[in-house]
Amino acid sequence: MHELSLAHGLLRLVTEAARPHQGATVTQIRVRVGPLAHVDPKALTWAFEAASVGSLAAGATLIYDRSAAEARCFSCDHVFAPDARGEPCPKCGGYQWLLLEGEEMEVIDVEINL
Amino acid sequence: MSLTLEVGTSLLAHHSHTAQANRQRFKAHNVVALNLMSSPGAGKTTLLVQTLLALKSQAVSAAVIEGDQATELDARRIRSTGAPVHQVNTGRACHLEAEMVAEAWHKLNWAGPGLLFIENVGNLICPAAFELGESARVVLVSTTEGEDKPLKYSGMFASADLVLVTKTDLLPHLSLDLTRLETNLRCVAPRAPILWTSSRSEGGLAPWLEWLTRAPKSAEKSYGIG
Repeated sequence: MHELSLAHGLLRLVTEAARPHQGATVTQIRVRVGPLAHVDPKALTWAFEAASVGSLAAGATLIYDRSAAEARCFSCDHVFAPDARGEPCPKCGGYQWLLLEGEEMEVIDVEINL
Repeated sequence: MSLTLEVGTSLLAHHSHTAQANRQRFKAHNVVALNLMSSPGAGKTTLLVQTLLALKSQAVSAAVIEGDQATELDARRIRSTGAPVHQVNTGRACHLEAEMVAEAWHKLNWAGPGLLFIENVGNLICPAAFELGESARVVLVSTTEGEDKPLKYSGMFASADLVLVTKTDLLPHLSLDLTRLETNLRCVAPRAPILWTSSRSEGGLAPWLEWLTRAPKSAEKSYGIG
């Protein structure tokens, strides 16, 4: 359950973003999560609810924007979208590929109420 | 009135920032930090005890940061080798974080140069997401864990710079399919070297000790995830 640590990181980012706007409350947070990111969105939502109690982001809705992964095969240079680690390249069947994108988890934007 | 504020920052930004500070500190002290991760019971502490004794005989300075949910038991085992050690008890947390490592570093009473082993909490999931400022990640899998752990916990194995298969002395008593284990490791960690080790037999750590002499000298590597 490392999602509680991630939730504290999320709360920190959101609080920092809203701080310049005095009296603001956060109503919605959009988070981009790669398919291979080390996070379970359901667990993060639950952890954020717990972590944000009493903060300016209490009760905010978390919206997940699922991005696609992108990998490049070392053997045939094919670029493809793996769903998981340990999958072969769909073109040549090789397992040696470099993940270019797909592990990210970042706050896209925050909606605040003034 | 509602307003949308652009953010575009990783949830791990704070951790990455602290990890980067650790990395710079280690570099300034000529310390190579290795993050050891595995499931509980894969043999991290036993490996470390034997490694520290071997390094001592080679006059290589080394220290250990121990991570466990609770107890000082592992630190006591490490201390018996004479190496400086600091035990971090993570309480409810299932992994070490860069901030814990920064605090432990100050309490170590050791400032290098040499090797700093960071023994993470035994867990094949959570520690993979958190960079600590390490030069390399060493992931252990013991022969008693079967062939499929790399596929079941691919995130952890994919992040490895080195894989150690431990407890090879037990192989005669097991029906482990070595080729399948190696194939599974190759599928998720195609570029990490795989070393076969035993902490309980004479010379069983030779490949690992040899790897340590070449351990990443540069502490530049970043594990920014997300």
